[in-house]
Amino acid sequence: MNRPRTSLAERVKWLLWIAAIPLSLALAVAAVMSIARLYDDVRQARDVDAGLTWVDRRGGDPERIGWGDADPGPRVLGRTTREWIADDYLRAFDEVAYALVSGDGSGLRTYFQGAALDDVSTSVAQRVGSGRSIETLDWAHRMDPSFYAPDGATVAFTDVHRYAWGRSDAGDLGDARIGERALQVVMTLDDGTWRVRHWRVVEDRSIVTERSEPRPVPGVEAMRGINYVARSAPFDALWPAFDATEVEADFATVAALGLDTVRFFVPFPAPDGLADHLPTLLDVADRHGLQVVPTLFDGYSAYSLADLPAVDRYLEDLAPLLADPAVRFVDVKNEADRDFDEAGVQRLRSFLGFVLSETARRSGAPVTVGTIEPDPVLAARSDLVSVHHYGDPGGLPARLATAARLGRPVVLEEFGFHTLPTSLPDPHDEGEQARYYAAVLDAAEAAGVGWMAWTLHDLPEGDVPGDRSVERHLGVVRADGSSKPAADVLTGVAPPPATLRDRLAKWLPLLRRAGAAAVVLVGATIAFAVVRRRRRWRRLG
Amino acid sequence: MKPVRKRLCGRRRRVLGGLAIVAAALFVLAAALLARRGATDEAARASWPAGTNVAVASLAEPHGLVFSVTVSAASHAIEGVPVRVVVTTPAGPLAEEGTLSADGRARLVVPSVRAGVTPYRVTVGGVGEAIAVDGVAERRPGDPVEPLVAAVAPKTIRVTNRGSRGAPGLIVHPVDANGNVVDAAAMATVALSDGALWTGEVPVRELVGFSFLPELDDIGTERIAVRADEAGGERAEIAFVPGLPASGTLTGVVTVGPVDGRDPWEVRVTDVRDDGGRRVSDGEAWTITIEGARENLFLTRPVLGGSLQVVLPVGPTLGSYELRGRADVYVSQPLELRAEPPFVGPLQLRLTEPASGPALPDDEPVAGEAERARLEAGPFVDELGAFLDDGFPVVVAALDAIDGEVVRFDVGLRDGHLAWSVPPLPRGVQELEVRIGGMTARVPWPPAPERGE
Repeated sequence: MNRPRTSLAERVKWLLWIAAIPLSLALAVAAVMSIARLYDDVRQARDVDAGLTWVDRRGGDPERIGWGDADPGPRVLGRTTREWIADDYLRAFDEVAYALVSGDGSGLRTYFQGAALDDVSTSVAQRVGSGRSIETLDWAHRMDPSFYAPDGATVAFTDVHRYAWGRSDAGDLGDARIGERALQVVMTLDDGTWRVRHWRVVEDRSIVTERSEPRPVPGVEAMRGINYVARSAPFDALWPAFDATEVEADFATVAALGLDTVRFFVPFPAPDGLADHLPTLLDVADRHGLQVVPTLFDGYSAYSLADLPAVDRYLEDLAPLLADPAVRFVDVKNEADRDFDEAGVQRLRSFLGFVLSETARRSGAPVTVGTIEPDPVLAARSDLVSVHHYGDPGGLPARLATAARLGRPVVLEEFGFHTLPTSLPDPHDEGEQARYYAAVLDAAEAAGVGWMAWTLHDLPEGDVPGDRSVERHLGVVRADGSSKPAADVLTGVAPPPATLRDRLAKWLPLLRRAGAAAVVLVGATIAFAVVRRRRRWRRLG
Repeated sequence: MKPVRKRLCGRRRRVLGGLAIVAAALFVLAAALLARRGATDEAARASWPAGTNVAVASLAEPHGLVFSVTVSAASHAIEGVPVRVVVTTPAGPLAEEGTLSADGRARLVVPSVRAGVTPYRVTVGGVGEAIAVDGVAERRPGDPVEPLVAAVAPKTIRVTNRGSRGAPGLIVHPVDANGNVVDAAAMATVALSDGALWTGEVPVRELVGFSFLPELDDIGTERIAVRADEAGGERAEIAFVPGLPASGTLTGVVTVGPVDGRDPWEVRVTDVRDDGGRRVSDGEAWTITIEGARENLFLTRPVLGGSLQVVLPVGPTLGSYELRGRADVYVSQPLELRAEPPFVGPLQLRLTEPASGPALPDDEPVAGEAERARLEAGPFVDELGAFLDDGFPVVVAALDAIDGEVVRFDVGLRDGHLAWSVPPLPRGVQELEVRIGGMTARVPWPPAPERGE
């Protein structure tokens, strides 16, 4: 059988195909490798950028380090040398912080040698292996020198400092620890740089701990209080525009309502005027026989480890005021659980755990975290559990019962009911507010829980959260200073009964609007139909 | 054929239907995922019956911290449950993960080898479980290992009549196999110059072993050996060397020289000794200074073999110079050096007028040398009768009425003579000054006419 003869052109064509296949494969492999390399480069650049950003954020603390006065001998350790050593020592921590975020440990040899270099290399290698960056922070170093060599090239000291770290975990901060350690350090001078050579942790305690023996909050179960937002300068505007006369009058109103406690808010960072006006507010409260519940860190929601030094100073500055006998307890954060999704549960628990511990240590007052749904971990670190409730009063007993199971006294820190009749689809009137108050107070009394209403005044001016209009109508006192029926409920007067007229009346604005809208709609439809029919007639001639 | 409108409706319906199906599928998927997550959390929480006990034991092994985790949960399957341990160190956290065996045990090794306290957290279970055990592991340093590194500070000490300047000290960091500083004291043995042995303890406090060592009264060497338990190391040495120069004999080898720079001064310092009369070490600094209106000179040279010799250029102006030797706080008696003229005889100038009269600035440029005034001096000969070198520097300055230098010219001798054609000079020049070998002489300018008018 004769095989068909292939032409030269066909053979060339086959040869080209045969050559093209491996060439294409090689090109494809090269392309994939290039993309992989590019991805790797981009990833590394991103990590380095993250590392530098983190070091930049954590390095802004002006009071990061301080030396003890003792002169260790045998050589005199002068001020300039101390500054030099401290500078290189802090840079060593910065270098580790950078390496643990970026995975780039190339700079560790500049500040470490010997055993300490082995340690940091091991940590960074593990971070690289895990692929998860680690945020570390150190602050409040207090260095007590114990030895300075005759040749000026070896120094030993004990450094007591605070630290924090956490591992990035899908937007959260896993394994976080905030503590204080005493670290013995030996540094040696080589090539003009002081390097950490030996170190040993001699003491390490976690600052964030559960409160095994919560402080008592006397009489909290019978507390009758109110949340205070100044009428002329609500929320953040209170401190810069503090008006002592207005506060005096408002607190007199609170006292006249038979209430015994006022809750107010302290933003973070501390606003202008806070240091001057907070003592005044405490004085006014004291004059009217009121106790206070300061609520700290208002408006703050970053919960960044990098802010801890500033947090420390904020609490240090506030400590004398928070220790005032007028302070019934301290709420360290308002409705913290609303930030769980954004900040991450672990991050928030660690951060607020630190704040709870440090507030309790510095102020001596019982501490709590304001929450809608109490968090068991934060509750264990608090002296009492705070619950906020704005829903159906029928659901309050169950919420209070759940909170009580956390093993701490419970306080209903916020409840309220707006009186905005035009708020659709849920308009309220003042009678409803009074009945709501009565129902909530009954539930709280039945549960043996103290309470604080939201809020004293309606707020006709100034900024309110979210610019929601209902926020302006939550007071028990109207903007003109007259009392709403809910104020009477606070004094023990029964609320007005709900009549059929009341029930209908609250819907009247809605019905009026709906009627108006229907008239407009029908009119527009008729007009449209007429116009359309006229056009058709015109077209048909 | 369907009407266009109908077809569009049909297509739109299909698209909308597809979108609805996709949305429904996504919704179902998300719901399933959420439900599953919730179920997992719930199962995890529910997976530990009441009375579950987690025991953690930590042990410091040479290669790391070993954590033995034992979980006792009655009638509960715990095999494969994840276990995680995280330790906190100043270098950052270290973590290790594993799983429980069927009998509820897990063994995790964290590569932490540093002595001291190490806080840890052991977590048993996955996401949503709350069993965590916190504790602190402690590691003590092991036995010291070789080589033991001993550093002496300072390595060299001067001996003076007031005793040695700087007490000798010994710094030791005895470390174990993991680099942890061992707390036990080291023993130092010092061999003194006279052959005596000194033995002392070097206590280790806060990671540093330090002890002062005996001082020598005279120059010599201390050899130091350190041991910590069985570990030894290399020998260290401290050299006790003479003190700083405190005396020396300053003599002039050549104290008179001509200003021409051809023959320099030469001084010698010998017998340089410290305050104890010991010859100083080679390399100690000795400084020669000349201070005064004519010259300010500061020159440091090393002493070699207790002496040094210095050659100095002769000062630029004629006269006496006062030289001193200095070292540390020692200042020698002054030595007088003299700078003299490089030639014999007075400096006499001759200025000759050209045939066409003196050159003036407003004149047209002259054509040849013969039309210029000539300034001449010489011959200049030294004390041997030899001409000064060709090119010997001569400065001719044109001065105005208040002795201000209007312009200057650097010219040189040739065959022992100055023969210089004066170029056109600015208006106002009153004199020409010649400076050579520290001597000066002047002639009025322009030269007086020789012929009568």
